[in-house]
Amino acid sequence: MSTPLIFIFLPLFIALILVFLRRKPKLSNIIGAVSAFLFALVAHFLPEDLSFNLGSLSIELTQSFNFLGRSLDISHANLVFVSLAFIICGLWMLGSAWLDISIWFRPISLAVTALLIAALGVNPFLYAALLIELVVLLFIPLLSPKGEETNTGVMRFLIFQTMALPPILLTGWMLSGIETAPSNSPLILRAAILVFLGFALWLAFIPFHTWLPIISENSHPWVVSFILLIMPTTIMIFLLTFFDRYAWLRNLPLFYEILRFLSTIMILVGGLLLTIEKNLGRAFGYAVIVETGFSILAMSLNPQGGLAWFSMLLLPRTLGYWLWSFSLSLIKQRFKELSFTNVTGLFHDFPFASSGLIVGQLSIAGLPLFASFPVKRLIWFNIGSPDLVNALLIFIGSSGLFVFVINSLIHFLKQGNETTSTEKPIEPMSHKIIITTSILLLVLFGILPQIILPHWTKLLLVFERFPILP
Amino acid sequence: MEDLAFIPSVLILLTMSVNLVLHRWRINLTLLAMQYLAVFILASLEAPLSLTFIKFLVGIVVSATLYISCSEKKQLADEQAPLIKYIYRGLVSLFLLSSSIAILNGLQAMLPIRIPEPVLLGSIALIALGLLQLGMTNAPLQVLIGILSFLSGFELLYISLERSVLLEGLLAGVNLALALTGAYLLLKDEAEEAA
Repeated sequence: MSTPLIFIFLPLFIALILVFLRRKPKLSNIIGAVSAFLFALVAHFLPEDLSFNLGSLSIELTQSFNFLGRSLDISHANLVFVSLAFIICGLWMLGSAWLDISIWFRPISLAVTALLIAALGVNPFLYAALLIELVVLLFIPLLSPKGEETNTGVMRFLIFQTMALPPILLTGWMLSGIETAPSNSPLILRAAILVFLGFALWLAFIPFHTWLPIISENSHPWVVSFILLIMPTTIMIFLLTFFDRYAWLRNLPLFYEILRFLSTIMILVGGLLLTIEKNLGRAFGYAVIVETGFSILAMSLNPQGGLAWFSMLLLPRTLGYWLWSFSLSLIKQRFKELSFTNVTGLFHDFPFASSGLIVGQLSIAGLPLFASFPVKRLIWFNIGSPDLVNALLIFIGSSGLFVFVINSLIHFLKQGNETTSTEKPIEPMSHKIIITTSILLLVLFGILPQIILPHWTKLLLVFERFPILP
Repeated sequence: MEDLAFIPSVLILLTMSVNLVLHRWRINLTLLAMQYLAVFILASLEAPLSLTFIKFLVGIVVSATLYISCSEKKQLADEQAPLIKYIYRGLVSLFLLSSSIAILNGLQAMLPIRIPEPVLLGSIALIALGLLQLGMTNAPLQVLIGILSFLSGFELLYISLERSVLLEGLLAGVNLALALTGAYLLLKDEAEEAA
């Protein structure tokens, strides 16, 4: 038995079972969530030599699975990402039990998680681009379910993500020449441009971001948040693989400056767009641009230990997105349209959903006491040392989400349409419990980061050459 | 032999240009199948027949899937646009085609290996006109044809570099998945079952 068999093929098999059980949402939800959390637990507790005893049976796992002359490898170092991916999948599977969501969400989310893990384990690793493309295609039925008009955002998502495939694969073409080329060879510049173009398309760098606010406005917030969390996370780790494997790439002149410039643009533009945004759904899309910017910014601060912050940011972001999109989904189920004018006075009728939304946004923004603050504080404090003007631009961009939260609060607290006591909607107890627990978790992560977050720096063990630990 | 090889290149230029200008689904999908035939002939100049024939088969399956989906769709009207729109599209595609021919030699010089001119021309035309098509419309069928053409152009270029069975299999999988996605987007409103 091998690790790819357990963490790729077994989840795919369970996803297939969930396809047949899709009309039984409760059962498929239980099977999906339990299996995702079980995979996460197994990945977390598997010993370094990949062997364990099951009763009297001694099982030793191999880390390779050969397939059509190529191999899939999941080593012990990869298991940190595997457990994170299944935690994300399990959390979203769990939340979907309380939401009115496509019957295909459970099988597709599990299959996608397995395919993304395969993408990071395939050898040669450039083939990951093709697996990521398959994941993109699997997301289309979720973003554009039956009975809903296909919005332009979905088509642009398909176009931009597909366009990223050739530049990444063509890098392989260039690489065969680069291994022997001198450092000033024009081949290096061309290959670097291709790599950056491919990742810019995948990660919705500005100006390739136009699909993000459209799908977050029109598609189901729960689906959108899952896609916009698991895809960029995997792709950023794939990007780190590039930096780790190719010395010519990380030794480019002004390498860190380029990364810092790109991330600053994302944070600044995303933040400024947030300040003028009047739709709760679109705001999530812009916040994702800012968050991707922060991850790239953490990579650019590698000489100061930025990669550790990159890895520690992932779990707080997961929880923040979870609460934000869960509350947003509840609001969307009620109001259908998420513009400020439509949700005026929301706090008076839905105090828990609106509080969950505000706390989720504040946590992502990096307010003290919430989960993202400890890591964002490190990034903010260190960005000043390479460039003070850059720090100012990032401060302006970071403020965007805070301005949006204040805007949201003003509209939520306004007196909306008069409702009599008999008309007043009541939030179910289960929603109240889930939102309260999530808020408490975000606070717990915020006040005790030293207990939970350092474990995730083990994600970097896969990369032997790129991370610089101060 | 290389002179004869320009025939499929010209076929690609013609099919792509007509697909860009005219939005009639029967014509578009027939031309898409012909385009795959031309790509197959050009790819055969660079790679073994066993590998390139997969591309041809996949192309035919993709075109047939989209054709059946369109014929199943009840209200798929052909585009009725003013004449000026057709003229504009025609001029833009002509401009891009002449640019593709103009940059051919410069591009060849940038590549680490020599690729026969007809193959390079076919590939560049598919990529350029595919991208143009993607920028000009949001209709699912036209977008799908644009993406498939863009990918065909890239595959034609890439087959000169790497000939791996797994890679061909994955690329075939991506093309088939794209066709299924297209079929889904075209037919999702026809199905009675609610999502």
